Amino acid sequence: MRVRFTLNGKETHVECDPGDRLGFVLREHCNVRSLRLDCAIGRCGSCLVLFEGLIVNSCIVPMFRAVGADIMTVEGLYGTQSLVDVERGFERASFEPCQYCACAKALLTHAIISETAEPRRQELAVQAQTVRCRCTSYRQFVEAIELAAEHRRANDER
Amino acid sequence: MTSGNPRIYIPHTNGELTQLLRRHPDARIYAGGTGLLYPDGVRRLTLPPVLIALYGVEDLRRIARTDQHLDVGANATIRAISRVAHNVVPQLLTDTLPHIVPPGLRNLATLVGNVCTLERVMTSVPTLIALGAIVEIRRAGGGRWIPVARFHGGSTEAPLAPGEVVTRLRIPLDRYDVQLFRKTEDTRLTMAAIASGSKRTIENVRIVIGSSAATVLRNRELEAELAGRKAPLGRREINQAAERMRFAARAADPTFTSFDLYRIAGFVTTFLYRVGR
Repeated sequence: MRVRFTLNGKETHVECDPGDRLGFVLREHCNVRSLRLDCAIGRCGSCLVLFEGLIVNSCIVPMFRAVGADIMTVEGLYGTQSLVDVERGFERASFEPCQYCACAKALLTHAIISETAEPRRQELAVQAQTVRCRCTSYRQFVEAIELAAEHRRANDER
Repeated sequence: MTSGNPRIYIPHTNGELTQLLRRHPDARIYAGGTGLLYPDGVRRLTLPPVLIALYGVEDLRRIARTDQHLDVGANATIRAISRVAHNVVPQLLTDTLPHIVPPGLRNLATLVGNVCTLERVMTSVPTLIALGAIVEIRRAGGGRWIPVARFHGGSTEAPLAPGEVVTRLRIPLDRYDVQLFRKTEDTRLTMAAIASGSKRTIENVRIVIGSSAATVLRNRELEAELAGRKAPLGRREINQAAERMRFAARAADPTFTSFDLYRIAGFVTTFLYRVGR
């Protein structure tokens, strides 16, 4: 099956099985190294992508679902102000995730602060658990998201 | 399941969907896909031989609200419902939504998918049964509405005939005086209860317990006896009701551990203590 989709703004064609996992195809065929297939049952969150603008676990999305879809990984944020906002938030909160989960956490933060300018702490506490890695505390991650959102708002006002 | 060449259909209207189901009555329905696809190693998911995906049908993504109820399309995600649900749906459902799936799956998983998973009682099912939710079932040339309880009520008759599909979930927006939801940390038990009444009299009580079994536990005799009593209930009445629920649970499902039974009784006690207070 030949699947055409948009990856980080570029049109992409891939030859694959309809049941192939999106995460696997992105990593092996499209050379997207920021995501990882860890649990492969949609729990750990290390394979997060923005699928049609929404955060999803790419390990449980079959390739037939990705036909014509708009997909973004953290590579699509390189060199953008969005990623700078996220990095500033992480720095100010002294939040240093491990290399394994950092990309997923950065993408998740970007998705949250793009959707809500002032995310509520109660909701963040739930959303922070999307990426289940014990390298840092969830409380610190929530703080980092709040500070990233603050930075984004300050940039928008300028 | 097959790992060969599955046939995948993506209808765009309800009409196309029902026609496809008439041609392929044994097709599996793909909505969120979180419960349907089976892992086949790291590389791929095993697809059923014939699959009908709902994401092309715009109508099935809709969430509509009237004064009396909330209509949720079969392909509306948990996240979409969570956004609409705040201050609209009963508190019981608002409390349940964050517990249904891990946050990363909420943009994929659907509430109707939760109901249609027959192998076990999913997290939202006790809540939907307690709230009296019903589902619309369509087939080529017709349709019908049935309560969610029919899916997990222990009936030997399958709720869906071949060629039928659930297209909508209707949740009544009634007001309740007490609503309580609990999911145990080990995810073995999901418990939901509602009560309403007037002039210090209990009129309506529903207590629904879900476990890893395929059917929910509900003690209708107890619920009928509680209706009509004066609120608040006395400690003795509460303890007796909790004990009866514990016995009913033990009789219904021998796989319940003594700790499960203790937690069920504790839930009933907490809930009934709140009624009228």
